[in-house]
Amino acid sequence: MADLVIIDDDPDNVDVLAEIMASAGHHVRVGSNGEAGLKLLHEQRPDLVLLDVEMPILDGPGMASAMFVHNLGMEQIPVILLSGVVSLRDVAARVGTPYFLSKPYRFTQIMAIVDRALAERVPPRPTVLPSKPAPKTR
Amino acid sequence: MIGFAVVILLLAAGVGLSVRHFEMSSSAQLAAIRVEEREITLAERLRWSGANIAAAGQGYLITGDPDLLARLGDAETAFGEAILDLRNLSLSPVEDALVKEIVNLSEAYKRIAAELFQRPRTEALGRSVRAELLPSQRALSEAFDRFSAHEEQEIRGAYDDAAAAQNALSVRTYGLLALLFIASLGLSWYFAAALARSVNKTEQALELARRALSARDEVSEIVAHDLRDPLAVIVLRCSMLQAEGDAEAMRRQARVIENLALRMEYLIKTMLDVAALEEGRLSLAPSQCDVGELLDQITDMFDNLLESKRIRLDRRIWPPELAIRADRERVLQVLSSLIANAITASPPGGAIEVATERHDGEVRFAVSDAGPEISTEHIARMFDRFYKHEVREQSGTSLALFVAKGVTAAHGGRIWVTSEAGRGSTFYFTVPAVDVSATS
Repeated sequence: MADLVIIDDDPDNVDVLAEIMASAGHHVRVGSNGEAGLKLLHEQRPDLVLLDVEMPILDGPGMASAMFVHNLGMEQIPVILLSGVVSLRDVAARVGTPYFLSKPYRFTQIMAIVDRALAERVPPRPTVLPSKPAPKTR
Repeated sequence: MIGFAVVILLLAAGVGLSVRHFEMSSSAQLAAIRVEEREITLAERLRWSGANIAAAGQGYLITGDPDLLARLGDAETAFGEAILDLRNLSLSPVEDALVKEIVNLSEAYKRIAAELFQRPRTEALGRSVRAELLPSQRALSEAFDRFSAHEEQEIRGAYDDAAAAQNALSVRTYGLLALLFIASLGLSWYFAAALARSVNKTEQALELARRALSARDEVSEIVAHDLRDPLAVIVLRCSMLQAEGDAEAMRRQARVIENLALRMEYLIKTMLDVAALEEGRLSLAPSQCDVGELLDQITDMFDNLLESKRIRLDRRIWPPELAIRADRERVLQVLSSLIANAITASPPGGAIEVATERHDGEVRFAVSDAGPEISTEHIARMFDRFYKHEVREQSGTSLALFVAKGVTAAHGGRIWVTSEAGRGSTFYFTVPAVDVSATS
């Protein structure tokens, strides 16, 4: 079974995803923003990151860029973008990941995309890197 | 603007008047010159008929031809008429003197002629016409010359005057025309500037409208996004609920779903509040509220969340008997927005303090947390409606702060925030106080 990291600023979302993934037999760690996510990645390299887009401190695309720029082997970790933003397809193209799912999604959809990502393991290749670090704010 | 129009009207009137004046003075000069010319003509006629008298009389005396006698008579008649005409003219004193001289000499001349030519021809034959008539004729002729010279001088003077007047008028007219031109330029400039200003205003209004439209789109996106988060969880929880066999697990799923639905309802309410605030139709139902009761109620609301996050909530009320006059639900709304904000900002195991104090006629609520510092630029825009993306924390947070600001303002109070590195942030708001001792 795989080691997953779930990054989302919505605690309800984190809870339900963690429950689902744990019941599917995965090992799950959670964080509420990009910076917390990077910390988790440093502690131990996971097999897959489930990433929200809009978050305080460091957002999803920012975290994906940081994974690529820091290049500590993190750039090989596949990322699934999960968000309710209207233009999720464009965000996924910027992050360079083939895995994304618009909220709200069904149980079967999230299970399917996690399985697919774990099987293919295509890492993200960001097309746009942030010009300045995300503001550290609340 | 009106001043410009008046100036232009005055200038146009000035130009018109001077043209008219020019015409009138020209006509007057022309008339004067015509009179002078007529006087000269009369004098010349007099000279001519005088010469005719002499010539016809002399011829008659020599030849005895009765035709010449008749011509003499005609000449004398014409002479007399010319004298009369000359006398009837209105003349200047100098001219008058000159004419009088001519008239006197003419009378003398007529007398000499009559004496010469109206006697029997034989008698006169012996006398010298040349010797008797010519001196008088010469004197008359000299008087004519003087008169003509004077008249010519008058005409020259009149012409010179007319030319001078014309020059002066030309200068004045051209000056006025130039001023008219400048004033017209000024007027055109003014209108061009006014036009540019109004075009500018229109562009600004367009820009505002464009911004308002994009702001609305932004809000729509925020709402869509914020509603999708809980909706996503509901969908997943329902799937899990269907697969659940254990009754306790089912109850837990149902409770979470209920909470999510309430969260969505809260978001929708916030959205409606934003719309109401923007249209200026947020209504209040103020009553006297005990601050202690308010804080009890708000603590109950957040008990579970505080417990799950291991965050302590401290309360401070001074003086202990504190009451406000406000819309109870609305004040609870502001307080819960600020407390939710503080909980989000606080690290697990941290503490939040809600302090209420009386200041003059107001009660000041202060919600403090030990979270990260809010930068100055964020503080300035914290309560703006569209300040969501930059300082986004949890669903609806900044919209809630915008609503909190509107609600506080509707109560006649203020809302603000202070923040310091290492010491967290404090959100303050004020509402009118009620004098407890006076009312109880």
